[in-house]
Amino acid sequence: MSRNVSRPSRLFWLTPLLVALPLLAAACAVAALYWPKLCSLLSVVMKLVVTS
Amino acid sequence: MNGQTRISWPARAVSALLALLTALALVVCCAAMLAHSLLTSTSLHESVALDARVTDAQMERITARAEELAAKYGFAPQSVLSVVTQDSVTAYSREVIAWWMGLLGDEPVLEAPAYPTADIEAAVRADELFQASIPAVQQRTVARDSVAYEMGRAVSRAVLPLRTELIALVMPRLQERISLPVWMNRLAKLPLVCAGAALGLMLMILLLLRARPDKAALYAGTALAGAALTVLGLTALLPLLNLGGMAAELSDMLALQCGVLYKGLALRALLAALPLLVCGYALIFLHQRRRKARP
Repeated sequence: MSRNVSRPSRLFWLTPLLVALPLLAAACAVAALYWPKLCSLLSVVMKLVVTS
Repeated sequence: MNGQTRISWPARAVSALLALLTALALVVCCAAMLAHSLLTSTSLHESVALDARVTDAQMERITARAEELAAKYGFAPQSVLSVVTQDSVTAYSREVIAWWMGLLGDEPVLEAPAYPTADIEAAVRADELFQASIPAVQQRTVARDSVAYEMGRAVSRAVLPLRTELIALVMPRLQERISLPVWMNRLAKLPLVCAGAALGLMLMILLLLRARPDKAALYAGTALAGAALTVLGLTALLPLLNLGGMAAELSDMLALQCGVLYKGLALRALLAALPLLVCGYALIFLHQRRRKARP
C-alpha cells in the first residue's frame, strides 16, 4: 500500500524565536525600568573613582 | 489516522513553559559564566591590558607627560622614556591585574602596586641637560618628587585610570559587611546549578512527551537555541546602555579599555552560545527530518 509522506512545516525552524523574543523583551523592560536609576548611581560612583 | 499520538493541549502548554524555563536557566548560566570571567579571569583582563590600541594609547600619554615634564625641568625626555619602556609598562599592568583580581580573594592586598620610580630618578639625575638647568642642591628633590613621582603617577593612571586609594578605603568596609570569597564561590557554582536545572527541565519535557520523542526534541531544541539567541541578542544590545559613553566623559583611556573588554566578553558570550545554538538546531533538525505519514 502506498503512503503519502510530508515533512513538518519549515516554520518550526523559527521556534527558538518564540523563546528568545519574550526573554529579550523581558530583559529590555527590566532595563528600561531600572537602568535610569542604576545609571545615575553608577555615574556618581564613576565620578568619584575614575581619574582623567 | 497517521499512526502518531496526538499531544493534548495541556501537555503542549506545560512543555512550552518548561522550554521557556530551560532557556531562562541557560541564559542565567551564561550570564553567571561571563560575570565570573569578568571578576576572576586574569587572561581576559590581560587581553585588555596587552591590546595594541590600549598599549599605544598608554605610551602616547606617558610620552606626552614625559615631554611636558622635560620642558618644565629641562631634561631630555628620552632619558625618562628609555626607562619607562612598553615592556616595563606591560609588566606593571600584569602586577595591577594580579592586585585587582586579588581584591576579591581571601586575603586582599589593599594598596595598589606602585610603578617603580627609582630608575626614573636615576636617569633624570644622570641627564646632562638636567644637571645644567637645575642647581645641584635641588637636583635630587626635583628628580624624585617632581619628575619620578609624577611619571610614576602618569604610568599608574594610564594603566588603571581609577583612584586606587578610594578602592583601598572602601574594600575593608565592604569586607566587613559581606564575605567576598563566599560570594565568589557561589558565583562560580551558579553556572553548574543552572545547567543542572536546565538538564532537569529538559528531562521533564522528555518525560511529558515520551509518546512523541520528536516533539520532545523540538521543545528541548527550541529552549537551547532560544537561550543561545537570547544570549547573543543581549550581548548585541549591551552597548545601548552606553557604559562606554559614560566612561568616555571621564576618561578616554577607561573608555578604550571598556571597549576592548566588551569585545572580549562578546567573544566569550559567542563561544558560550554557539554550542547551545548547534545542539538546539540539531534537535530541531531531528524533528524536521522525520516524515509524517499520511493515509
